[in-house]
Amino acid sequence: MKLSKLFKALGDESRLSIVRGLLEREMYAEVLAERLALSPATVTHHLKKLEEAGLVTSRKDQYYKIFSIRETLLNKNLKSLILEISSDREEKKEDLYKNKVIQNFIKNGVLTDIPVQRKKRRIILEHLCKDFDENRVYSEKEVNELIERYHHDFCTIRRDFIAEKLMTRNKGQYQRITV
Amino acid sequence: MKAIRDYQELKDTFLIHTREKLPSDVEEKIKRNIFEIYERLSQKLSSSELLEKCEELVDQWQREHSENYRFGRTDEASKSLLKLVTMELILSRPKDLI
Repeated sequence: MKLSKLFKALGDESRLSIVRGLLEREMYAEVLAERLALSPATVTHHLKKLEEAGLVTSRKDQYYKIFSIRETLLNKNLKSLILEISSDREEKKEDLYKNKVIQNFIKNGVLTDIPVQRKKRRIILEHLCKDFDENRVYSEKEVNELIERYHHDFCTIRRDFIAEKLMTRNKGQYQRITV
Repeated sequence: MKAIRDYQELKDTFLIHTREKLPSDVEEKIKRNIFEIYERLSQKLSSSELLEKCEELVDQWQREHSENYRFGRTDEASKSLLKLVTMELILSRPKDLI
């Protein structure tokens, strides 16, 4: 959900009146129109905006739609709302960045280069590590062979798995750590 | 046969010699790994492909070394340097032995 869309939806007197009305009880659009002395078409338009912003929800009642307020969203305080939505956005941004790095470095299932930059390197290592079953213990030879499918320098990648705490090593036995 | 013997000699002597920048067991393990990479590649690739691939690896370790050195990660920089030195040594043998 876009925070700006939510505030935009609330930045209108008629829509605020609709929200006030729906806070009392759920209502049909026609009842709201009558109470607010607005045309049903105008109220429907405003309800659509409020629904898109996630403030209002509706359910079918035979031929009509009953509108109600999404209390969970309205009960949040402004600070937590801003923080929650921006962290959602940052997470999505981070995911996009990770995918981009993976696409840039892994072509046709082969790692073209081991990234030198730490952040990118970590992303690639996390991606490669997914090939290992968390519930299995691997010998060094098996680890090398699995890594070799992506890149010839299995020794650097294998060491990085340990350094980045993605795997544990105990007497030559390797196991993936659940992140 | 001579080429194989020369390569084995190089491997044996180089594994013993330490630069004392890293713990000796770590140093030996890294060197062994580089020889192993070279051996595995040499089984799969033609001579020219092998040279190309090894040079790519040397370039990569060179970049890795610069980055680690720049950020003061001296141990990591030493490891990168060791990897590239080992591979360069293997590649420095006369071309007909590669």
